[in-house]
Amino acid sequence: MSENLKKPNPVSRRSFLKTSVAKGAAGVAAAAVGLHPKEAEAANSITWHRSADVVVVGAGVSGLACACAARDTGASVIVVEENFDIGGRGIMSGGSIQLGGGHSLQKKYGTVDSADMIFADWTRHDHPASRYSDRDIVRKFADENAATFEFLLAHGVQFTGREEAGGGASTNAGRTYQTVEWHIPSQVMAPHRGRNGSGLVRRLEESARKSGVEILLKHSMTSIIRENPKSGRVLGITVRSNGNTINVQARKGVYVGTGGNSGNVNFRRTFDPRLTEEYQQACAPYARQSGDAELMSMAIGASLWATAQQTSESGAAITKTVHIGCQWGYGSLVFETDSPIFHLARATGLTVANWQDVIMVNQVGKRFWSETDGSYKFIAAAMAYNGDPDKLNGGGPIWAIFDSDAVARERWNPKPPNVDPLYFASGATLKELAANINNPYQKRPMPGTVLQETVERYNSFVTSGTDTDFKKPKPMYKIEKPPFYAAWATPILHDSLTGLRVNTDQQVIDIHGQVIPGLYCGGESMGGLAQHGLGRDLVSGRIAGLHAGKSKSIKV
Amino acid sequence: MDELTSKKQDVERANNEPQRHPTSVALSRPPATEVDAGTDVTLKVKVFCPSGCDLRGSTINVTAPDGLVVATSELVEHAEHANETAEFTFKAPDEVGEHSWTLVFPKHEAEGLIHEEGSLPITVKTIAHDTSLAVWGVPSPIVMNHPFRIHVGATCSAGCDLRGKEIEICDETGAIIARGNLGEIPWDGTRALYWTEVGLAAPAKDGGASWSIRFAATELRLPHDEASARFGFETVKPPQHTVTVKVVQKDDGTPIEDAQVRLGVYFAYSDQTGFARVAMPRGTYELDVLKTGYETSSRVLDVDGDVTVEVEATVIPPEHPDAFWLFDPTKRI
Repeated sequence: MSENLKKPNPVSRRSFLKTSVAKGAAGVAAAAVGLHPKEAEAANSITWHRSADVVVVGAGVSGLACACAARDTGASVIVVEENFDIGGRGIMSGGSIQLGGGHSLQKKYGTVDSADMIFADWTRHDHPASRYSDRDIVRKFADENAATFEFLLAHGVQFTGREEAGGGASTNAGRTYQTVEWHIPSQVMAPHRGRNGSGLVRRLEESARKSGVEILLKHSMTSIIRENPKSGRVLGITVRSNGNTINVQARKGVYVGTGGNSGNVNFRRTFDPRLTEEYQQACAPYARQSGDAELMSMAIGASLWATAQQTSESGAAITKTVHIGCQWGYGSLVFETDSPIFHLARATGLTVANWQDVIMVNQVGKRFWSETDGSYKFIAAAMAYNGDPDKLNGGGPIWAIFDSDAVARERWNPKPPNVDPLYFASGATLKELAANINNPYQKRPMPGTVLQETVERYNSFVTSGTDTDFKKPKPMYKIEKPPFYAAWATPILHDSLTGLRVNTDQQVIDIHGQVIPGLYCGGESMGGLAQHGLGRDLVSGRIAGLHAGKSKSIKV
Repeated sequence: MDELTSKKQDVERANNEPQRHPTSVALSRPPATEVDAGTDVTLKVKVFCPSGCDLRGSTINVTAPDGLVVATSELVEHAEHANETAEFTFKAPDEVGEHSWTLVFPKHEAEGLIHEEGSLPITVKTIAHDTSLAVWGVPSPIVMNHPFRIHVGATCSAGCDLRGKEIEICDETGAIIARGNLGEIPWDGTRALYWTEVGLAAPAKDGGASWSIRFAATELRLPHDEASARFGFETVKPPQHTVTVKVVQKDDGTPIEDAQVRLGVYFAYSDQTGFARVAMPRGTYELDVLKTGYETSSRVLDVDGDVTVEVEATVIPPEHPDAFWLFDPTKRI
């Protein structure tokens, strides 16, 4: 039993109301702080094991920003995190933060930027990433950019220095700054790969803990408690930990910052029905992106917002796998063998330097697009119907097929721990290779004769110099020398670009357009602003923390 | 015998009568519905007693239709009502077809308790072993009528020994143009890819060729299916000139090694000094130079004598792995 469960906070029914349980008395006490009598009655019937002004769900980038900001206002804060450690998806990030608006580092390096320029960039009509934005949300985001950057500095976040990559869309203002990687590799989760986001979340964690924020790890929210099922104020949450259920009261607000929904097959298919179970997501197996908190919010009336952004095909919602032969091969993320979660990741993957070294086939052994393309055209072809009458949605697994010459050119060592036997196969011939694919998402055997014909045809393109099927530019290498290999290369999901509807204070809005009092949301769980990366998470978390922290407390 | 004595005897008989528990047999890992003839059938079996008796130590028999017990496995696990064997195997017949066995838990008596016999029929289909081929080291292009060599390998789905077996090479008409016998040692990195090198001669006319290999694994103890595979190459006219291509880095003229130089169907790779040489007949060719991490532009080259050209390659800066924040409308749309 965790420490907090041994000593339940005595904020139970009795002390919560501090009066007799008589209905009238409770109603009077509630009215004094604007609490509806019914709300007081609902609260009265709940035993609160823990209590804080602001309860933050998720100790990722937006959750930690919210916690620090709320604590800055003097509010007490409890963060609940289902994982064994903090960081969420942010700890896996490269740590490039897109924040501008004329903050101190921009000024230091003479970068001209303003809130108006940010607004202009993120409301562009000629780009699908900004076309569908909620411009009220963008306006507030733009206005709070610079202040959020200063907030990070104040909380000890360190930056490498000058803006790193340039490119601020139409205004061309540089606003990408990189945090310094956390100095303890075992606390980076994916060390040795420039996971500078670890420096962001660890510094925020450090600051939060120092200021008295309590972080409850391995605590998983199971429901949001609202006065009535679809009306009234949010009073707190129910949490499951170590087999126990506890109720955590939020006197000012609950913040949902759980990282999005791309790990939830049923939820993500709301926006894109193609996204069936074979598509894995970046940052798993550390962060689940389960969409649970969004669903719990929707269960008490919350609405989704700007859902077109998920399928605008402009960012990193769906990406080509770069590290093949492992379950999670997202571009910039590799779990080396000394990663604290390597036992979950199981393989590092083989990093593809040249897509000329492989062909990509679908689950029936056929090529579907030029392997050197990585655009959404490639993704769409990979997800196209492959002829399996039992699987009309989703494209099924995609396999990179290559030979021992490709292994030599790429300097791969195609053995564990570089590959995961469930996501990798080898064979003396192409037919044997197809028969050896044994993967949970490969629902029917790949026909070996089809794979052999596919490769024979591709080899003829190499000798003739022209890919007449998919126009791969100058196919360079035949696939002919045994042994042959098949490595998992199914597109991998990344950003959740839509989520719960919020107002400019990050308060969650219900399906009737009304605020759900006491419920906040930000980061990848929110809808309205489809920005990749950390800027959106930090700004929205901070706005929510400040608003919730300054709001009236339930005091009855 | 009075009535009382008779009843007493009945009770005693009933008391002495051993208890009887029925049993049933099920598969916890069913055998594959199809297995290669003569190879192992793998399965795992459970025995249930409704009273939840621990039957560990007793055995399961796999009985052929003629009554012969072909395998026995001990029950080693007990949980709730089930007693389970470890995974075990028995040999499938060499003949192709459907075969049946019965899994029998024999009647078992111990300590006045009888467990009745339980049984379950199983059927497995044996199939001819699949064979498959690989062909590699096929050069291209090849000058008309010139000799060349290829590697050919064959393997069996059950890993059978294919040493010495014959493979046939056929031209586009299906006519056998060469034969070879598979060698003694499997190809490196494979379990049982038996291989050989075969000498061939290019056709007498130029153009693309698509030939095939056939393998009929006869004279093996177990039945095997046939296999075939195709391979292709370009046949070209005899060379007349040499094209020399020097590949250099655009910024500083540094030679670039191991770039693929293509002139139509002709290939060559640049050496340490950045030079690649291609012998070819007169004509007009598209020249491309390909190398990971570099960008070059194509050009058309008229070859009517020995010619040397220099190709500049520009380094492509590595894409930032987290570059999606760049918000560049030209990317990924």
